Amino acid sequence: MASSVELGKKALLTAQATRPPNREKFIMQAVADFESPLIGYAMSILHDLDLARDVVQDTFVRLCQQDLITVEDRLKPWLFTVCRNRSLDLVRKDRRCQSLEDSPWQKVADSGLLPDEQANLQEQQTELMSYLDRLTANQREAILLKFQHDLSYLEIQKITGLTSSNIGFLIHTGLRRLREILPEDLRL
Amino acid sequence: MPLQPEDPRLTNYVLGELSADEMSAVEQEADSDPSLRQKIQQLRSIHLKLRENLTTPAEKLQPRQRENVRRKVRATDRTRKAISLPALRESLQAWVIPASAAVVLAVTTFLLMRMPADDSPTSAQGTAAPKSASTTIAKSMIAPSPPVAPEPVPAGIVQRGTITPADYPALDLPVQTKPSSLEDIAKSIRQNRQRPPREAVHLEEILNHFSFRLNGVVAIAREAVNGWHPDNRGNRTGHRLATLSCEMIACPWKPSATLLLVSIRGNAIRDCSAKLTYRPNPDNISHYRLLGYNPTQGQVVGALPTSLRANTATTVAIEIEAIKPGGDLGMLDWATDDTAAPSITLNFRRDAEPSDDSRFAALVCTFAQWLAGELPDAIDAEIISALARESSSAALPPDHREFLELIDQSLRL
Repeated sequence: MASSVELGKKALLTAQATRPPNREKFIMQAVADFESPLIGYAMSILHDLDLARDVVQDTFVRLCQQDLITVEDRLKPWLFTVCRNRSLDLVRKDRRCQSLEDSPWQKVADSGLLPDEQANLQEQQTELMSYLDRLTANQREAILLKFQHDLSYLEIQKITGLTSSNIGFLIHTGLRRLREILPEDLRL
Repeated sequence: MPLQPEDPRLTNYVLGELSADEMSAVEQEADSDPSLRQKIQQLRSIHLKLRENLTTPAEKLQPRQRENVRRKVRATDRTRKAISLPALRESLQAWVIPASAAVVLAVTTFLLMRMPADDSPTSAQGTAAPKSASTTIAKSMIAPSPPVAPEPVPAGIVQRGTITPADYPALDLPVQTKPSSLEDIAKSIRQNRQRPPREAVHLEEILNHFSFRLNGVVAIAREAVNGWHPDNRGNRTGHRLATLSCEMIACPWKPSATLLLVSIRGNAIRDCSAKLTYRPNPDNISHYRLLGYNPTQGQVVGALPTSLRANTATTVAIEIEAIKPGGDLGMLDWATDDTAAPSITLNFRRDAEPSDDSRFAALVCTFAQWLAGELPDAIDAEIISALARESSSAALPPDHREFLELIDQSLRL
């Protein structure tokens, strides 16, 4: 009995010690770190930059309402999960998805490349995205979360609700399909 | 199981997503197999290129959106301070922790007193952490049915369950099903808020509630041309009697197996007789199983009906365990009105992209088996959710969409 109480007190003290000293600083740092990846992710679902920005703003507003102790050690998957759920809500509401004609992938990361190199990379990425759109929604999402956002299978599992083995299978089959459909100049 | 160059585990290995034991097992196999080593190199190069090409977009929030977030943080901070956190903490420390400890002790004592001698699945789940409500409920509701070993039977009697090509070199397939029972099942789930009794679930009836356009090989049986007439010169074919189409897809509940979907469709004018037989390749198939068609295990006495009605189609599904899944899986022989029709050779290409309809058919088969409590070790709510999400799209036909909603509702029961 005594040991349980001691453990409980210890856990509470540890939680207090790890509480971020400044919520505003913590959240604004999260905005700086994750706004672009989240906008990219939301765009892959919504195909609309303005909507994606709204969803990401909403995601951070929800973060403000959270007790940060419960999310700080799994912040990245938590943000992606909220962002995904909000995006899918909008898709269900507006049925705006799967547009192949107008690619939203207008810009790539500020990589310090020369303008012509950047334009070339941008063109390649836009083209690659149009081929990714030909995969199933799950394959595309698993590939983007893994390769664009560098998430582990466990984190992808938390975000999508798919099992790890299913994620591995989706990535494997998605890449294989991508190899088949990509033209020679983009061949992986 | 030895690794093949197309095994998903190689992708997981390159992505660093295997356990240490699995990693060393892959490395050992790759050391002794140059083709695997080459495949791993190829995968590494693909992954590097993909990471290079899929850079994060540079879009940021608008300044006003960023400011909205900042204002929200400040507003919630003020609300939190108003609650007086330190006072809350003190009161929590005063009574919540001892109370929690007492509750934990009481529950543990209760569980120890109630623990049965045997490890029934329900009691095991009761003490486990709730992984997923629907999974837990689903598993606790399905007791595993004991497998019935097939027994040798005289020729002419239809065998169900898992069988081998050595014992059964040919399996006659049904070309008819009873009327769909999906509406009764849907009523049970939607109105009565409970899963239907297992014996009320007939996979073949649920599967044939939908019509499928399979994207594999198609064969057409035509009516024989009677007699010869100068006007018929060059016209050696009669009316279409029936169409047979098939498609193979990786089996969702058993990755080593293949799911063969076969659809036979009658013509628009008249009924005809049809006999359909699957002949597994004995050199490649270790065992196979026709899905559905009660009883799903054991024997069925009496010949299968052969009448193929006009304007109807029947789809059957067979789970095939092959030694080499990408190879020759056998043949489909068929005849209409006692005349042999062109056979279909079943060559499964594992890299072929399955059609939307075959994915959906695989989902139907998985869900129906789950509802019937079959293969409880292989099929759970999680796999059904994953398949349903995979089948879901904005362009789904209404009846498919309705079925996905039914799945969703049944997983929540």
